[in-house]
Amino acid sequence: MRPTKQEFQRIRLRTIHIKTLLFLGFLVIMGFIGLLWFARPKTSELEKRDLTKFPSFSLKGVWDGSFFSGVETWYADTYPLREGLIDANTKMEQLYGFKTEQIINNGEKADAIPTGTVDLEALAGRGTTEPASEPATDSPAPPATGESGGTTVSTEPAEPVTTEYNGHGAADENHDLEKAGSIYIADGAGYGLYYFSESNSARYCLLVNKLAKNLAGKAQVYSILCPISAGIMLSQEDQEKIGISDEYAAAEWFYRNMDASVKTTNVVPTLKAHNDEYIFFRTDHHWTALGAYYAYREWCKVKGVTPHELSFFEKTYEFDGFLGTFYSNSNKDPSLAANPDTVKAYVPNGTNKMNMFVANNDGTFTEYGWRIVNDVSNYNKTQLYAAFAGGDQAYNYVHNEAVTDGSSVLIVKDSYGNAFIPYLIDHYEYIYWIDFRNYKKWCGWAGYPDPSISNLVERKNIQDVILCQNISIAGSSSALDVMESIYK
Amino acid sequence: MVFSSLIFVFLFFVANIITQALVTDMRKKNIVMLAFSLVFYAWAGIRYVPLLLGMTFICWFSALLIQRRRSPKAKKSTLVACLVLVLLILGVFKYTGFFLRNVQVLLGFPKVIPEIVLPIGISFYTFQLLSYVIDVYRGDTEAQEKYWLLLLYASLFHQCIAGPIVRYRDVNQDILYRRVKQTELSRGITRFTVGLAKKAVLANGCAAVVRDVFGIAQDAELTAAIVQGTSVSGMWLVMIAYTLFIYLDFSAYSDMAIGMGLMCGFHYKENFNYPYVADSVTDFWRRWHISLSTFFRDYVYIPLGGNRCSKGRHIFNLFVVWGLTGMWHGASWNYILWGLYYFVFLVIEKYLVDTGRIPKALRHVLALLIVAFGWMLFRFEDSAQLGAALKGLFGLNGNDFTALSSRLVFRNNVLFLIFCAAAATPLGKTLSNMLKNLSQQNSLCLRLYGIWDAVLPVLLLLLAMMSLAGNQYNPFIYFQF
Repeated sequence: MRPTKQEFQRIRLRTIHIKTLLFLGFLVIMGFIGLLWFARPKTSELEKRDLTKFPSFSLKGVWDGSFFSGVETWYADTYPLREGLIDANTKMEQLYGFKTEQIINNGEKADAIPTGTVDLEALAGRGTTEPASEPATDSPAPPATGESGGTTVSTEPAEPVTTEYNGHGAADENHDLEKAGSIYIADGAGYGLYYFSESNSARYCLLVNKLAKNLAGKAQVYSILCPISAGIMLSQEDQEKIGISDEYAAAEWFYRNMDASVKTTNVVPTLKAHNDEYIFFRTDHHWTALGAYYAYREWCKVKGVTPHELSFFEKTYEFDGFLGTFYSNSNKDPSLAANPDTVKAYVPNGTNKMNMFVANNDGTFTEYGWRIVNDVSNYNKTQLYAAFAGGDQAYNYVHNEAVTDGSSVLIVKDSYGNAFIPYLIDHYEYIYWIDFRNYKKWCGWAGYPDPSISNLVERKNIQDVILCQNISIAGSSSALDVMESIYK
Repeated sequence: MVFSSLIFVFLFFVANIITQALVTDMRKKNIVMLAFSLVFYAWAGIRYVPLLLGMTFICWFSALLIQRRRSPKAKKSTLVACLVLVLLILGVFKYTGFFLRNVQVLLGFPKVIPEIVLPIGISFYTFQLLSYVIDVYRGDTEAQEKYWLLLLYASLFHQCIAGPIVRYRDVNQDILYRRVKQTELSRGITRFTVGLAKKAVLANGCAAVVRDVFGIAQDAELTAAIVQGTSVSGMWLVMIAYTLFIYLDFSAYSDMAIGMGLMCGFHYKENFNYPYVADSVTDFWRRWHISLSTFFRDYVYIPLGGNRCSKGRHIFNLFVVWGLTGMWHGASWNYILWGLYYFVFLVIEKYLVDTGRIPKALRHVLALLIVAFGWMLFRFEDSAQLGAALKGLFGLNGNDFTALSSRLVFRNNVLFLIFCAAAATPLGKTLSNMLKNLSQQNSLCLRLYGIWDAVLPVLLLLLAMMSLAGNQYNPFIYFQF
């Protein structure tokens, strides 16, 4: 029935009133929620980062606008409904097309991997391998015993302290050097993509060679370049289709250009041989404990020791529901959410006690007694890889009293090393590991003016140095900038 | 602050419309509006505010002088002095770096090029103020006696930083006597939310498609290498997505400005009229950024003689206008090239090819191709990237026709891109009009249309919020554990 003019006017007017009320009401409610400062989250478990803080006021910031842009970022980044909105947005974006596969953070470029030897210095783009020497500092002499500087440190033997440490260290400016990078997602699994960079890789080799030279006669250097998952798990054909670099050839390139004194092991063939097993996570860029175990067996061959069988480990843990970095990097890809990982961890037999130094927000560190393989069943499901080796703390040490030969090892690592470390515990009496991303900062706090690996090796009389890093980070210029000050 | 940010929508804008509704006295209303506009402008840094105040003062003072002076010569000299001064200031802030870089390339000096930060919105508000002074000179409008009211015109946050370029004579009455009609409030709400969702969901989504093909490299050299390595189909995908992005982005800002204006009683002219349905380049420019083209038409092209002159002179006039149009968009050669690219096609359409003889469908496709190719010139300021992109479109970089990465980006976004393409046509408007007509013929339809009309803005706000939160979600997530 055709509405009369009066009816039309009346309904139109009522519509306008309701529309205005709905619109303004919605804005006011959302605005009000935005004002609930106490409801604003401070950290994002999913993204593993502290959310933006309210900027500190400064006249300069007001003058150049940085204060206001900081407020704007803070407002959006900590908006109380943000996580829910992101979830809804991800679901909406599933409707954009026929999404069965995707590549995230595309845009890296692979250099061809040359065969034969190369001129590292020319490739690295520098005339000299010696960086400018660092100015001497007036830092106090290192303490005679214990590992600590500052005032909050315990030098007692490791006793797990679970009530204080909450699993979060302070965000370190370098912790972002390791990233999931480019990811290929297909059939409910993510794969980290590797792109060889010739000049950066040359820089890495130069650093390793310099370190080996400095340690000649003092310690044996081992290099394990941990593979990235796509190069192991995807078929050659798929790898070529995506346009990534061959990880075996790349690792060979690295090792060919390392000093002959460095003992190397290319773990790509072994891992490829086991790629029908659960050696890489589907939702996270790391290898699993099993993947790390096969690499460990290869290292044992080079070291000349007998590897422990998996059955050797008396205690194991399994944590279900892991949704790792691929999941968060893909804005919570639903196909990954449907395929959560299980984190399995093998507890060392000799000891599960470790000590670690966790960064505080004020630049200091606190030492905690911890567990090498930790029960993370109460952790957020995005953080289960933290089960291994205390996560990425700057400086860590273990005294395994089950071994009494005085043997010692230092593992210089990124987070790939975490899953690898537990297997080494039963081979050594003293095990140290440092995360290259924040070790220098720790040295500054602990009162060691020289953050070099060789300095640590001398101080601790370390016999073996294992460089356990992923092949991608060994070709990342920002990571190399950080390594520069400690790989010597 | 940008319109498409949570703090703008939920804090600034809410506060603005509430205060505008509560304050009834027009003088106070304007004072409040000016305060909001200055806060909005100062948000990018207080350092830019003195320039806005100064430029407005120069134009306010010059216009008063022009109006008060009796002799045409004196009026003209005042106008010229004002134009020179204002354009000089614009030139210093916008083009010094560009000019010196070119001098450096040619002559080897200066060794150091000063980094001058471009004050936000300077190109827009300068043109608004210029149009005001020229209109006063021409007697098309009265000079504004009150400085602060002219400042309100120049700084009005709806259009100060991203257009449309509003003429003083078009909003003067609204500044002094505006009233909000209920129907206009309703239209404004819909227009604003359509614009916000268009920007947050569609434009940002198209930008993400470009990003997904080209990747996230920041380094210019690496980006050039990536562009060079992009497959032919990938490059075409970028061209299509960028073509959609730039329209959806820019027109969304105009939608929001027009919508917010309507909610407060300001009436801004349309700035876009579905430019991608144009069937010629001439037609495109009648539909694209209308406030800018009419500015150049009224204040440059016609004073130069327009088309009522010899052929040679007309071509010269077009050359000047399109060279300036290019320059206005940015201080880089690619923008000038982009402007002159249109000059060439406009001359061809005017003097060499009778487009009327080309079949309509083909005419439309040709116009779209010319426009889309033009956006590639616009997209790349870096000459190495631009060269690689242009060659890449024609398969001259030695790449395959297609690659997995761009194929996936296409497949994962194909429905979205189709939707965006539809959103760039009058389809939505036609559907909306059909519904409206239907509602006038049937009571049930009237009620259903009412529900749709009332709920749509909230739905659009929700979608925009989701996208804004999602896009601010940092894709570079790093790991402490």
